Amino acid sequence: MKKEPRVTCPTCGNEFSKAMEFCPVCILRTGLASEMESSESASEDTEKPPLESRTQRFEHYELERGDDGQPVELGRGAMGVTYRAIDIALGCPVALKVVSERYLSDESARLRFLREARAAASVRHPKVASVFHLGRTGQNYFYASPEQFSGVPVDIRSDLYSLGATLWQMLTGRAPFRGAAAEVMYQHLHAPLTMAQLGQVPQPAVLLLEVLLEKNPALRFQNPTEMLTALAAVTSAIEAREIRVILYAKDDPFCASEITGDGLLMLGDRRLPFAVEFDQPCIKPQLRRTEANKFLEELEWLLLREATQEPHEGDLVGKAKTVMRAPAPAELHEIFFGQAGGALELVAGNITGVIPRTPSYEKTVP
Amino acid sequence: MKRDHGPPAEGAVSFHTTHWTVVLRAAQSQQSDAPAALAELFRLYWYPLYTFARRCGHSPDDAQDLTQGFFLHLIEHKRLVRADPLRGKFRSFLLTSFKNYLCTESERARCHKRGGHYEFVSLDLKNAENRYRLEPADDLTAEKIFDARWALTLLGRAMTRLGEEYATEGRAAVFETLKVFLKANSPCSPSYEEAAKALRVSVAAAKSLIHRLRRRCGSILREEVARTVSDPDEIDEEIHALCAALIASGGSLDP
Repeated sequence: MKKEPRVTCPTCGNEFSKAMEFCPVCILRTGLASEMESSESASEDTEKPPLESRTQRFEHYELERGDDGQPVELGRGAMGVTYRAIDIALGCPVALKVVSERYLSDESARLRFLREARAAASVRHPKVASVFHLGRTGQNYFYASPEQFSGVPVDIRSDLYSLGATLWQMLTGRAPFRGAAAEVMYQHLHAPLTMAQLGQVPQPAVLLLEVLLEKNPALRFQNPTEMLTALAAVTSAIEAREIRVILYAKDDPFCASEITGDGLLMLGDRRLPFAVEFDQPCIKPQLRRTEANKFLEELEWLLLREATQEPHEGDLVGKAKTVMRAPAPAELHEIFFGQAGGALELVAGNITGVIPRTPSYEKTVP
Repeated sequence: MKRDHGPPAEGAVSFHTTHWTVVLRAAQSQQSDAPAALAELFRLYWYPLYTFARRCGHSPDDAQDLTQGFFLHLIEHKRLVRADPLRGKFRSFLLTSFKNYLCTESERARCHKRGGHYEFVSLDLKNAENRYRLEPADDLTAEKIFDARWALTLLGRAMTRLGEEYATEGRAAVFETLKVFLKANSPCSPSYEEAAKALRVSVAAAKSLIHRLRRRCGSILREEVARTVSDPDEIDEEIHALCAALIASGGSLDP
């Protein structure tokens, strides 16, 4: 058996192994709802023109019209249509490829188009159209950077701001600033971010947004590489917050198989041995130790409060955001001092639930 | 575990219906058929896990043991019971659980976990290494290979089902003749006239058959994806993710 060479799909530009009968990306796309709902008949192989006749201009390109008053088509493919147009800034003829609007929200299609454009841009030949410009229309003021409104030169950091605005919308369902165009422009330039909108967004992601949406480009990430580096730290931090552990009393006979850590809690003159089970994936040993320590500290605090009979105002779950059920002091006591036993569920150091020792508990805890 | 599903022979005619959320619900309500239901899904998607283990540096024997052992781990332990049925895709669940499993396994003697009262799920492990040797040796990460391999596994499953459906209806020839039209048109595709001639139908009828084949292909793909996500709203998102994984692999994976 030897490896098959690759071929490029003439339709979507994706590369795939020659051993495959079809381009896997094209086939997968047939399952998209938009494709299923398409009223495309079997006789039509190309998409309907993405361009409505009223549209004449894309940024600084204006479509040429033929004798029939219709835009002059130079070519047509599955992704869109190429038209003859004029660069009104330079006064020269260009070929304008317009991607069908059905692909606008399709990230994989966007990547393919981008790759095609980059590949074409690397070619300079009298018989090959050169790529001069790649842009998208309809990007609007909700996501534009302050410098785009203030008339100063923009660079890649402006795109990073727009990315931040888009991320904000993805996380909250709303753009960072809303209102009429003039209001939004003013807010991009001068108004602070409304952090309350971020609600349940994890803190590391909040920090990322703050940096991306800095009004001063010098305070943002200076390039995408910087952002990617930070992104790794952000995802690690979020991952750490989501680690869920089950804490057993050490003498619980059902905790044996999954122990990945243990500890000893001193409570007055009582010694409480613990076993810690990590339920969520966490492959970094260092992180495990750190998290385990945090959990134990938190629990120590909770038990101390319980032991000293301090009023707890029903908030034994501490600062947990996802509260399944706050354990009652009596339940805590039963788990660690009583006969029945049980286990506590914690997320990021906060008690989020109680797993009482029941027949099903014994069944599920080997 | 009952062995009433047969071995996962390539191309075997079978009409699996198990859905990821069904597996979860069965596990969480302590139903006895939860392991069998999981086995049915696992049998379809174990190979991407094997490639992941190999990519992480495990030997062929260890990768086989780990893949097999992971399945036992899933059904013997309470991971499924605690998994949130309202969140997450089967693909992500398997990969993250498998990563965790690899981590804990490296700290523990593997033989402890063998046996029990379950039989191993029957996997075509003997051919796994032959397939794995063809996986790309470039700088793709284990995760990227896993996702792209997952996409191809799902696609292969859907195409097999599509062909089986046509064969069951006695229309294997229609499928064989028209499947080339499943890909978008290209200069080397046969014409509608040629297809109509081969099937001895009118051109209009051939176009209609092609249209139906495309729609059925799309429906089956959605059904297969639906089995691995917890909400129908996630189907498109998962398809986009799988397309992105294939594009990222740069065509370096063979079928």
